[in-house]
Amino acid sequence: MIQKFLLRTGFFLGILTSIIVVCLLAGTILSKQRAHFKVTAPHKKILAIGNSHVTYALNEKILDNLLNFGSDGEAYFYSYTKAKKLLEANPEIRYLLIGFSNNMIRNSIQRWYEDETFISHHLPKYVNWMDVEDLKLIYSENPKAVIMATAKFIAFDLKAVSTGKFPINEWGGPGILTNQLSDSVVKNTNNAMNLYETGIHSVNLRYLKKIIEMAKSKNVQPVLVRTPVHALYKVDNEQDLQHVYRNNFADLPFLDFQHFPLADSCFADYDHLNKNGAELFSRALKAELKKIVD
Amino acid sequence: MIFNSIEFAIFLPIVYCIYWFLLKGRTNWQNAFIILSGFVFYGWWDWRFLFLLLFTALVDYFIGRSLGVVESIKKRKLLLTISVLCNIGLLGFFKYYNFFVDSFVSAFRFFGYQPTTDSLQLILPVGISFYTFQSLGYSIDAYRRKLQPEKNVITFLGFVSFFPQLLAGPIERATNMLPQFRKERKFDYNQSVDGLKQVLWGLFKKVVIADNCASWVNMAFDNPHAYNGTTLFVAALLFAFQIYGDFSGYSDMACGIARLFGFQYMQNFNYPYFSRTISEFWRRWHISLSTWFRDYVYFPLGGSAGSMAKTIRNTMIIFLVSGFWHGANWTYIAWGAINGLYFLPGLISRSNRKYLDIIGNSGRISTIEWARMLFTFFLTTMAWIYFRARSIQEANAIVYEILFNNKWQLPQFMPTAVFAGIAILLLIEWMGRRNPYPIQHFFVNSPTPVRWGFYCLICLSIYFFGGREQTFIYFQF
Repeated sequence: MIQKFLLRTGFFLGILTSIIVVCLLAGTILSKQRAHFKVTAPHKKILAIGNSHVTYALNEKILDNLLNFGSDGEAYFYSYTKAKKLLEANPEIRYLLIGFSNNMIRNSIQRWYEDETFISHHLPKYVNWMDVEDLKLIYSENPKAVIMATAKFIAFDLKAVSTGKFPINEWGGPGILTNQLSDSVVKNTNNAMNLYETGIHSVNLRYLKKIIEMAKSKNVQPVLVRTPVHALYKVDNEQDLQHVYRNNFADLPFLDFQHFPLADSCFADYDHLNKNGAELFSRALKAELKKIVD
Repeated sequence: MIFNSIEFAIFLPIVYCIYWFLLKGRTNWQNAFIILSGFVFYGWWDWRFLFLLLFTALVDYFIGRSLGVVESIKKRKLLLTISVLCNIGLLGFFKYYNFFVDSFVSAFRFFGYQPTTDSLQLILPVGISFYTFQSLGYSIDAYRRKLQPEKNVITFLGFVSFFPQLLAGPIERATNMLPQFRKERKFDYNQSVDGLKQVLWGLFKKVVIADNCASWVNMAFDNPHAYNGTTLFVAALLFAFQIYGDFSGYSDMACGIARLFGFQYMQNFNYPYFSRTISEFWRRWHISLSTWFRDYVYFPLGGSAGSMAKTIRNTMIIFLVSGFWHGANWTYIAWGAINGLYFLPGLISRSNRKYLDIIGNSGRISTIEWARMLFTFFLTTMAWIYFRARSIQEANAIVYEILFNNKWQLPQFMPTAVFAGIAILLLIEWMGRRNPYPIQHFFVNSPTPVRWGFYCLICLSIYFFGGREQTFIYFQF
């Protein structure tokens, strides 16, 4: 009887697994067929990628020749796939603006790869267009989270059927923060402490290099940009960042606005600009970009 | 290790196959293997606390054996006292030490003193309240000569460390479990299928209902001042279903897994949200704990045998102790007190044993019964606010906002998909409320493809709509 029980249970699980695998394959095929990466804005010459610093700092109305594809909590690992597909499909883009902030190179960025929340949020958006090598890497970081995220892959792929802008409508974009850093928060300097683990994160740095090499291979000029942060935002890995820049990207323009003078009312928190801050910063950035963009 | 994890999905089949294939017919070896698997399961979280589990179990084993031979009442009382002190002492130290220290400090400060004390950085051993109560219950039963003390240490350790109930109950009775551990277990196909179905249903409640409610509940209860009264009420409703899905889901999984190994646990939840009175609710919610307190605290205090005043006193003690059992925080005590107060009108009017049967079991459901059911659910939901809030002040503020300062504006969030899941849960539970778990007899007489289709649907809903893996709320108790 126990054999019968195990056989029937196994058979049931087999059917279940088959249903899931079929859904997964169908979703992948469907989304690959339906996906397009063409941005319907031929005048846009600059593509901006990065994390939430980029998302909330770049105002597309002011920077009218720029496409803001920054995405909250996104490591270069995911941005690489995004930049690759967008640059391939949009040859009019000539410049790649890459958010280059202190938190993107430090070791604490590791959780942006291995944490289940980050994987389940970002991986479904890019998994169908990732290189095998990248998939192997993320699987080796957290196989459990990748397996758990398969349900999200299917759910995400189903959107392919229902939307015409798939998948780039899910790949980030400009955001607006309306709140202001309050006086009480400003005075509480403890909140501004950056207590994460220090050291340079090798994987994120490797993918930043990959993004830059890929852009260069497509005759796209990479430009690094650091968005403004509040004076109380303690940055304790500045040496690391400068070291990384000097040793790897010294040939690239680096638009460093870290200390760009802005009032407290321009910040949503210590390292994110709100609507007012984004407008002021975008004007300043536009002026700087004019020197680079032909 | 938690039931809703990949580790457990690997652990369970391995243990199951060894248990039934390699050790079949060898009861003592199967029990020894239950101990080993229980230790792996528990030690996965923190192996150091295995010694605590072992200590508790061995103390009660030896006390039980002594109680089996000692006749002197004085000595028997002494033995029982040692067991109570060991179990409650461990529980008190790990769970309540800091609470008492902090409370004393606050009380002294209130009178103008500044005592110097040290709080300890204690880690609360997961499930300690469950296994100490289970083990202590055995000693009390042995003292009362309600059972024959167990001589075989393996059998007894198996009873204490059987992994399905180890972390969050049900708090099983030795009178129910030890005979099952002693006898030879034979594989029963129907019981195993039944067990799997119960596991599936428990997983659905945990992963689809509770885990999806959790993020909304956390958002509101972590920052209640940011939300209006309507939103807080929505959050309270969601918490009512979160805790039900979480805890009854765990119990269903525990019962189902135990069945896979040939054991029968007691029913821990019996559709509590279909109760028409608070007393009925407490006969249906966390039954193993309620009956534990009834048998080992309420009855020794005199139960309802004395005057009404004594009965009220005993009832309030039970509710306060039950609240305190849940955690070292005044919020739990307040939650217990509120439920005690809810309970009193029925007790005083002697109508607390009015509804012993599940609603609608004997004839049509009257409008009054529907209204009572809704009102009981409302009262329970309001009490849950004290259970979930971080402090009594915050709980009071939430209740005030919901009941007295509510302008019934639109809620700031309304997770319709989560409520749709809750509606499906309620519908299925309603349809199957006469069974130990609702889907037990669903489609049993239908052709296999229909029946399996139904199970597939539940599995796929778990896969697609499951919330992020969360630990069980009751592990902290």
